[in-house]
Amino acid sequence: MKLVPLFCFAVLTPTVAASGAHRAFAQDAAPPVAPPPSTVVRNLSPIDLQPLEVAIPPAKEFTLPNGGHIFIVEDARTPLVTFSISVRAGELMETNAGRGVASLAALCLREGTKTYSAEKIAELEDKYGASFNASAGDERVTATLSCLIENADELLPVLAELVYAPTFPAQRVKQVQTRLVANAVARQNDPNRQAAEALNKAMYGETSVFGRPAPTPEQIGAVAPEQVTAFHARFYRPDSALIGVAGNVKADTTGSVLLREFGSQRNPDAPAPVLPAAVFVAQGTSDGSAAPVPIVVNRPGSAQTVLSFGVPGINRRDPEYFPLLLANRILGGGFNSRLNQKLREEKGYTYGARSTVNAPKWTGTWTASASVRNAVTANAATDFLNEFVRLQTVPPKAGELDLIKQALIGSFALTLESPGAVLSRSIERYEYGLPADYWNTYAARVRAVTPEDVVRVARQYLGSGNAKTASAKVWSVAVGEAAQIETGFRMAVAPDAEAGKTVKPPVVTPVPNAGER
Amino acid sequence: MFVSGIIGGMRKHFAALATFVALCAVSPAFAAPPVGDAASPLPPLAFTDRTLPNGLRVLASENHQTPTVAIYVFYKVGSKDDPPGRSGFAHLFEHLMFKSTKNMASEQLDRLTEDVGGANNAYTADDVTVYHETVPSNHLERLLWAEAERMSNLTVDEKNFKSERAVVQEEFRQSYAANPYGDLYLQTTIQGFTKHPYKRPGIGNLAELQAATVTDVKAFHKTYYRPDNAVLVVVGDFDPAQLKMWADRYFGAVAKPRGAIPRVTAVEPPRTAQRHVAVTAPDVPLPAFSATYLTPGVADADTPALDVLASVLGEGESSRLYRALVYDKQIASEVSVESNGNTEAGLFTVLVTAASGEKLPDLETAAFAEMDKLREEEITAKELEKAKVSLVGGIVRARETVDGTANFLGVAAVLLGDPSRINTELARVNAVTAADVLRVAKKYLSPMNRVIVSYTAKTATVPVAKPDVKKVKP
Repeated sequence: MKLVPLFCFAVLTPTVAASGAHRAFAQDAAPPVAPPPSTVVRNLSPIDLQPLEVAIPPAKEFTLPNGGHIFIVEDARTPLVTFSISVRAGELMETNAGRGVASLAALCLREGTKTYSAEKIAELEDKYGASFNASAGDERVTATLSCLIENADELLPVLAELVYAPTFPAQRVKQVQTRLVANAVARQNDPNRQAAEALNKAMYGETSVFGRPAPTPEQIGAVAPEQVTAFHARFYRPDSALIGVAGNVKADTTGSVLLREFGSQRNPDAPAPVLPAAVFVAQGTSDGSAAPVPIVVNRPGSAQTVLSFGVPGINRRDPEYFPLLLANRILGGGFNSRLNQKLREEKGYTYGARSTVNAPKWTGTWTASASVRNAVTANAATDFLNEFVRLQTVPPKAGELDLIKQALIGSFALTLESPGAVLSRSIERYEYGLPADYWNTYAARVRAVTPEDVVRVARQYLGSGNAKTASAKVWSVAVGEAAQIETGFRMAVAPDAEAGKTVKPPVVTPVPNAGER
Repeated sequence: MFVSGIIGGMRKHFAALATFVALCAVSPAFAAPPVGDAASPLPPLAFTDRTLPNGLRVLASENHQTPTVAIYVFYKVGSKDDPPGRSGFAHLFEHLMFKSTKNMASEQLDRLTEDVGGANNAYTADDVTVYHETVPSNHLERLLWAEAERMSNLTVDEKNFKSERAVVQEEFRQSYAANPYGDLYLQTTIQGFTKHPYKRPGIGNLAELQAATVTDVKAFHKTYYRPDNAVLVVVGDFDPAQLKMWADRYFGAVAKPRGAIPRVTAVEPPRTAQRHVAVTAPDVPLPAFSATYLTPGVADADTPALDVLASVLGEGESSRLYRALVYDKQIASEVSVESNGNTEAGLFTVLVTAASGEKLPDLETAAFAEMDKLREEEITAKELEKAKVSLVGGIVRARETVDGTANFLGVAAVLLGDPSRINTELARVNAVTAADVLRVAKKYLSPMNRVIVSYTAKTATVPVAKPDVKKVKP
């Protein structure tokens, strides 16, 4: 068994599921494509060029008496089922005084509950070939049970207790904590993580829950057992629960089992927590004449420089979501995007350059990143900025945009083969408060985006469209050997800041979060 | 997380398809149906097997569940065939196969797949290099044409070559040089063999990649990329008569070169004494060690029992090493165990990362003591069952998609030596007994058969460097 050394771009906010796969894009400067030999064209099977209409079978949904929400997707193809339950108890819910408590609580769920000891849980897993897992994300903690459907009756009560009635035995909490500390130590020197954290910290501010770096080993080590219990009591609320299952289940029978197991837990008296609105740090100038101050994180001996760029973006419900999705595809959302073509295929600076629209509940970011060799740091940074400008000034040709749309819609349709994907789309729609027909109109929404839309959102989010000030809104970070890269990088991304130009803060207006219930 | 040698690399790090050479996928997301269930979810795969006059073997299996088709081309050339002084070349070459051909522009293959909602990628392993696409089924003919085109008409120019070589060098820096444990992974492979070229990591090294030339590329293509050194696998929604016609038309036209294909002849000698290699690196957050044991090639009868042994030792929180070192003694923070077979020899690899403040010698002693128990006593029935559920789950999942099935069929044909092994692997796993596991543990896990690579920070007591963030004043 071998693992492929996949590179993970550290992204601190959830990316949108629909933008996951990568798509092709014919670059302006690409050489003319040689036509396949006539034999091929003549004998090709007919390709249906009619617009693809995608209809998703909706999940069956209902709300529990305690406010939890159930999603069931019936699919008889597989005897295996995965139940998942998530509650709003992720890392964003931690206070600055209790960093690390969310992950610790999540990983300790299976260390014992009111009725089931950790040993008993492991024994049940062995007996049924089942598995229980839990992990903390930014906003939510998700616990899952994978098993054969005929064993669900016996195992679902365990999942319910795991989430709502864990006992957090002191000795076991300590052990998990020691492991989490070691894992945090092992991760500390990861340059991608350092870059993503520096960018978020600069953009949102280090006291914002959205700008905080991941908890340090010291912070995790300092969490007291009472904090874990208190965090659980406050945030593992049934009214925040999203409970889903896809597989060989029947909505009526499985629904009544879920009602029995997850419907009667009580909510705390305190009102449900609400995330603050995301506000960006005021930097740069409101007239776009100077960019935010570039940041260099020194990483002595670094073999490469991680370059990261970011601008304030949108939340998931923003009407600009689809134009931005398409603009991002063109900029850096796939292998054939402009950034990857320029930095990898043309220049050979990197194994990959890409950009991502993070559109969560709060106002997210639009980021771009690549690991490049030290010697080309400044040139690569200039290429990034040039592509940001080009997106604002060179509209995609209609044919190019059509290809991207076709690819996006085509891959969307192909991912719906799996019942699990249908389930996540339903949950996504509910969580972000998107309209009921959202996924069935997805293709039409993609198709409606025009080349002008792409340029418009590029100008709005990346800068002014004027080459001299086009990077006015862009935050930039370089993580690497400062002695080798710092001067060139700063000159490349912010010559004005180098010249000591006065920087006036722009006006920043917070936007309400999407789908906050 | 453990990364090592079968896969030298792949072309895209943001590919939609994760590809594993191994038959047994790792870390199942859910458990498989009961092992040996009469209503097995895995009916035998029906496939056709024919060889064109030029030597190309064509394996095909129809499946009309979804209107998609997977195309895999296996070339029997891998990192073990890297020319002398050109470590990493087979993998670099894999990247170049996406450049221009006589009738295709660079990256046109992306256009043919991704623009229609499909996907493509490639991977290089020690024994094979594999190119694959999944597309809506009405695009099958195009892709067959394109694969035949790059088998016969690759045209790499100096500019494309240099820029792609730089990409692969960045892949090395990103995956290994920037990874605090990158050197440990490389050294585990390098120290794992004495004679066999499996000792050269597939990713190569910067100097030997830099030494490669366009002339090397042309010679390599001519030597190994020929129809009688390849297997075409097509699985999914196709018409067999059409497939036959298209395979004949496009691949049948590729000439079979004269001359024999060079093969690696080196044989790895048995290990006779434990070896211990100390490696240091500047930024090692927590010390770690790897221990490898030399095992036979993947087609060997002992492979399923070794897979069970690896699972019992290191898979999940209830595994022996995890429970003992991470959970009970709390001297390790991470444990991983895997049994990799290449065609000619394999490594059973244990990798343990220390917990904060632990000394490696103590950790090694504790790990080996735990492993010794498996050489003395049979594993429990539950442990055996759990490992089988996981391994069977991997096989079942590989068969769930056209992509996974095509890869599996190719692996069976090329690495296991017989495509029909796709239908017998499950029974081989199910047949493993606790006595088999004890036997292979005794046979392979002896100290005499062990190479340890210890990995520590260059200076013993350096605290983890905090990032030093600087800002200029505006």
